Amino acid sequence: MITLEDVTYTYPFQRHSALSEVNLHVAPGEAIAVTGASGCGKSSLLRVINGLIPHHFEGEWAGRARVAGRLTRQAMLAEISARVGTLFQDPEQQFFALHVEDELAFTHEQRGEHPARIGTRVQWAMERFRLTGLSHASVYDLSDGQKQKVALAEVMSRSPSVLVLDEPTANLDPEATRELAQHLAELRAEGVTLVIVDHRLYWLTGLVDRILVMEAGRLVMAGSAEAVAESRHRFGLRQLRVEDQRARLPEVPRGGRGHIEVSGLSFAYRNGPALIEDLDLSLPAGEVIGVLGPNGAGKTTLVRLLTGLLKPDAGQIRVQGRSLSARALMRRTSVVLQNTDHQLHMRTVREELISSVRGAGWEVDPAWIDELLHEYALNGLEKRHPQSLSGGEKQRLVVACGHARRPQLFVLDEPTSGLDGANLTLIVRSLQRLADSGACVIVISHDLELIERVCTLRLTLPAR
Amino acid sequence: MPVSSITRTAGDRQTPLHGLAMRTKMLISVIAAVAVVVLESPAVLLGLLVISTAYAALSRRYGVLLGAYLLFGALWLLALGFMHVMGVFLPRLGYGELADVVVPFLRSAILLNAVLAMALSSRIQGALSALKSLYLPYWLYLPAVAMVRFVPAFLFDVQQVGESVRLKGYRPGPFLLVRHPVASLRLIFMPLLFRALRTADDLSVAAELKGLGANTPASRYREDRFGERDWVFMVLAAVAIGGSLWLELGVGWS
Repeated sequence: MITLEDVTYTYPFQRHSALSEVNLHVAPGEAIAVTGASGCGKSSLLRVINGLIPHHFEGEWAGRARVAGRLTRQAMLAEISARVGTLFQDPEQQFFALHVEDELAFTHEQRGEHPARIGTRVQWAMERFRLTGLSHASVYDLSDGQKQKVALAEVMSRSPSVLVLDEPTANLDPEATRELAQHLAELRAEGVTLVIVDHRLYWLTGLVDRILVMEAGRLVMAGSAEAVAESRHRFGLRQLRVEDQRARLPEVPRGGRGHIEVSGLSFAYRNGPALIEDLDLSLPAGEVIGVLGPNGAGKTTLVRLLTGLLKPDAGQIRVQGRSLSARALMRRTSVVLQNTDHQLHMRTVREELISSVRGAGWEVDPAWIDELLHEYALNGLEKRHPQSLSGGEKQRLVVACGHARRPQLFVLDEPTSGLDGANLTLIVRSLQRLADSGACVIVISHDLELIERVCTLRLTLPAR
Repeated sequence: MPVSSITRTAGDRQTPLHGLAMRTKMLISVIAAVAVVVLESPAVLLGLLVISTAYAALSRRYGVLLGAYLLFGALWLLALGFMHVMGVFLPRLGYGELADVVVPFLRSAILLNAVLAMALSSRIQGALSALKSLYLPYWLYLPAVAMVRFVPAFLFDVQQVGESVRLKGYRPGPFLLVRHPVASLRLIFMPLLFRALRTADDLSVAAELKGLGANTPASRYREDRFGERDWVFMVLAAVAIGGSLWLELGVGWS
């Protein structure tokens, strides 16, 4: 179904090849996973299979790629996309309509299909992926898992023979990940060829026939989950077995004295129901607290209240026994938002760190900046523009910026989404060090591996 | 704040306006736009303004309408202020009589009502389908789709960048823009620029992977059918605008 022969590819204006002499054969109905450290060429391999390379991304190309019986260089991209479906990490990236049914119909409409056939395909997709009750829902009102399901339903409504998935679980909670794996297993049983690129490997072990490991643009290993597990550290990969520790973590005390005390906290968005109601908490220093709960439970809202970004309708937040204004609260906290692009403003990595130190009201100590650059493996990148860094490097930088403020409360929203094993380990160690230095660290994450390795307490918010 | 709360429209409400076909509302807006160019009489325009305000009020989004009118009024006051200043230094460019200002004000207010009535009572998807039904060329239709689709994403980016600026210890707002223009550029516009570029890239990739490059004529899954109510509104609009034209051009009202 997929055959790559000596494929070498270099992006425009780049010196190093993203792919070097890649040879790959995937049989019809086979399921493979591709993994490797950040920047190893996984996504480029995927782009070769779905035809984005060389049709969308120009550059230097050598070798031959044949997918679903056609040489990708000779076929038009529209023709390839009819045979190869692609699912992104963030499903919103691929939505063109605002409602579920409209989204499912959109591509068929653009292809000029007969309305009766469109109706049949839409109906099939909604029933197949259990979306019938959501047909008129806004895509913005869906949970991340539901969004991913809509995106998958839309792709499969086109009946592709190959499905490629780029980190499809990065935004999903463990339950939604399980459901996605179930859908993929069913598709595989129906004969669809699957190529899944992901850092998270635990959910793939029962699903794929083999795991390929890439390094510096080359395929360096292919084998079973057990074989790859043995070489995990060598290639900086994530764990292949992860324990779900969520239920085993002790719950944070509700009330009483602590590093940060919350009493009677209530909040509702304008014209909305109460999201947080009369909440009492005692958050101790020196701990890493995982905030758990389903989508819509108010996890992000709670940390926005704790950090002063939102004003509560009622209640008090005390830090070391003192009630603080929103501005003072913000000075003592660091927040790492989910999207790194929103948080990087300065011209260089060093300036970004210095700006964070100044923003918290501290004097800039060059030795402290050097220490952070070293701790977060950013040496050598200090003169680079932050927006020019890779995803993993940006993630390390925003965490380093949060650390630079020497916060009493450090909140991180999905800090390891899309990070490889080596970067995950680096973040885990830093969070542990921060907690050891007396800060209260709060992590909102669906990443079971991160929760298992770093969280010492949990704060569970009930479903609303 | 959830994205849906930023982007929610009155799509789920049911008022007489919501039952109208998108093409009817577009047509009424176009006819109103042409009519106000022709009409010059303040009295006739005032009559049309009353009718168009009643038309916009049918959306029952009174709070949003009030906010839009206040913003509209503020912009007009700002424009008048600048015209006054210009008139002091260059008398030829200033406004002479009240009528010089009243007529353009009434014209723009009527258009605002027509657009608000359409915007506050339509699903964005309906607007996209209507655009498609006009058989616009692909290169014109797709950017329109992309623009409408990514307005919510852009608003979300603005909100997120604002929060990250606050977390850095700044207070985003007009004061920051005036007092620290260079810092504002760096803090607010640079991340938005990079996000916009990234979104544009993601969008083009998604469009290509959906096979939108195949130059086949588009079809429509759901028809935007004309009903009895559409004809009633079209006749009422024709009577109001035709009557206004007759009063000014036929009877000679001024």
